[in-house]
Amino acid sequence: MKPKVKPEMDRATVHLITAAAPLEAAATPEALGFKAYNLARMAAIGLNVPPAFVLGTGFCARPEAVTADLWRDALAHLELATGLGLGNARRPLLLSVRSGAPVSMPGMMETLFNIGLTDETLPGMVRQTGHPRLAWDAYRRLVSGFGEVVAGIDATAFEADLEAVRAGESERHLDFATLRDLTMRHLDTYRQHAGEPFPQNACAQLEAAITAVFHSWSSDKAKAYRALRGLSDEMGTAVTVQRMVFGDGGGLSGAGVGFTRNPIDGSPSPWVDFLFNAQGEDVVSGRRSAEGHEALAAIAPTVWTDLVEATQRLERHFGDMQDFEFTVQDGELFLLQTRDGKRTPQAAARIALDMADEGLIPIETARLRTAGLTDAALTTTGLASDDGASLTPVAQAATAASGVVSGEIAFDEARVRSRKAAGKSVILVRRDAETRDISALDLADGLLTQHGARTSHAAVVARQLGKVCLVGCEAMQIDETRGRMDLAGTSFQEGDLITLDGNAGLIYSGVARVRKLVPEALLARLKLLGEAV
Amino acid sequence: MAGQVLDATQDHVRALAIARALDEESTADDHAEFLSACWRVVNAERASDPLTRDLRRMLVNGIEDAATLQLATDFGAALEQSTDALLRTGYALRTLILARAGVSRQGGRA
Repeated sequence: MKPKVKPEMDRATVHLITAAAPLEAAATPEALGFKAYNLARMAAIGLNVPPAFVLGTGFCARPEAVTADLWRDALAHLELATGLGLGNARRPLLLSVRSGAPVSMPGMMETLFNIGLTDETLPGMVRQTGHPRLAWDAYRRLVSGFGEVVAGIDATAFEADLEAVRAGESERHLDFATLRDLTMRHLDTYRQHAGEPFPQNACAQLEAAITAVFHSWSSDKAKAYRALRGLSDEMGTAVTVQRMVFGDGGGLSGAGVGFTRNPIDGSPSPWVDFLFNAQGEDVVSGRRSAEGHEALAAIAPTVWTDLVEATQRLERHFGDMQDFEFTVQDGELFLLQTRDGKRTPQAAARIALDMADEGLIPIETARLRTAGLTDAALTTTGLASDDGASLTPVAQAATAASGVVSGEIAFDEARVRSRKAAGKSVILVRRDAETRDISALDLADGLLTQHGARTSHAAVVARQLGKVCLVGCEAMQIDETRGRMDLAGTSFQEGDLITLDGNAGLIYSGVARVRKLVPEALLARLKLLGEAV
Repeated sequence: MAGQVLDATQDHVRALAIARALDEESTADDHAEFLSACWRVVNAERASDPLTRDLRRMLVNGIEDAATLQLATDFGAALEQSTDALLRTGYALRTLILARAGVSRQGGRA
């Protein structure tokens, strides 16, 4: 049965999210969407969230009624809070315009970034940041994103522009002059395909972006997704208009993703991946190997202290382990998102027990959270220590999911499929940790990647599927065309056997003996929890 | 030190971005922002001197291999020279802008 939806008028409201603003009674997940509701909660408990306003889900059914008159006052608050102005040539305010439904619909609706950049405001962004590359990169992304989402221009038109300028280079390595050339091409492409110039009025950009994001609720793919999941069409999406913060402006800037506790074994310390001079997408895409929190703590100790304090506050308020995203802009920490973190069964048990001991949750809640955890689910695997000759690892990598597995090396889905059909244990070895490999990962017994972070989407999926997963093995070189790889000087062919030790983050040549690890101490604590009055 | 050079470079770009838009309609805030960016570039050069000394001391105490010591010393010297160059360019830019605004080096209006 589809959930009951509140009357549309109750949800047709404009909410401000500013520093330490108390949560209004009308601010509910049904009205604000789930992500924005949690943003509002974070701001209300004093965490540094980029200021925003949210147009409630009640407007979704009639986006044509959402005119600038509705949000002008809210925008003025944003300008006041940031000291920036939308369309201001000296100190331009740049905005993201995001969809956000009461339930998660990943990738089904649209989001626009860098709204407010125009030919006139771009020099203002250079003046603020001292970073022409950042400014031109933001502008070209706005023109192509706006062109696709608002003007309905096919993405291939903008991709052709990119191919024309990059001459085989990675996008990440293009300098500001090339990005400026690319932006000019995009502006021309926009004019040709849309039949009018790209809007140079920042308010007009914002108005069109809000309408387009509301309309994305009714796109074919969004409707199909809701039909598949049995979700009500009446819920609607909210639209969040938020100040942009940049982690890729150089200096003391960067982006990170983290868990307030270790999602693999549940140990009570923050588990954070961070990249200097990067955006959040760089961390979760699986194409770059992130650093752990050590680099952040060493280079920006104040930011790290702020982050640790923020994780404690998040847990106190939300009453559960959180999966959060953050950006550091010029040494200032901004929290961008939080939600309950996905975790292994072992972590679920330890976190519930520890949080009850720490007084963060009632014992009854801990019991509910551990009710379905069987002894079998809590048992893991480890390397056998009594198998004769001591094993020497050939390389190490970051642990994204624990356990030990041995299997044949396979470089693609076809190989995984054929060897699994032959009854073999198989380890998928890839350059990047990407979610497009999900069907191969589902079949395989383990995943090893050259790049990628522990918090990348693919690593999260691997944990959920219960696969042993090691990522960011930078000592590995893969040559798919010759069907071989090199692991820190040792060569392997596709089909050779290796062992992944997800507990220690080590890779071994050949098959190692594994044994079951029964978490006796954890089981004893669970037993005590069951008996507690 | 590399971080300091990067910061100074970004400040220099900020000063350039402000300078290219300065005209009769510019406000006192624009001029103050320009001078402030120039001042940070000057300060970066001053700060680089003790940093260079610290770096040399650290390299001499921590590196025994001659080739690594030579390369690291060259790298440190290149960073220091970068802040020197930024300082000279910053002064030239400031002089140009002040002259355009009709202000002499002594601070009075011509």
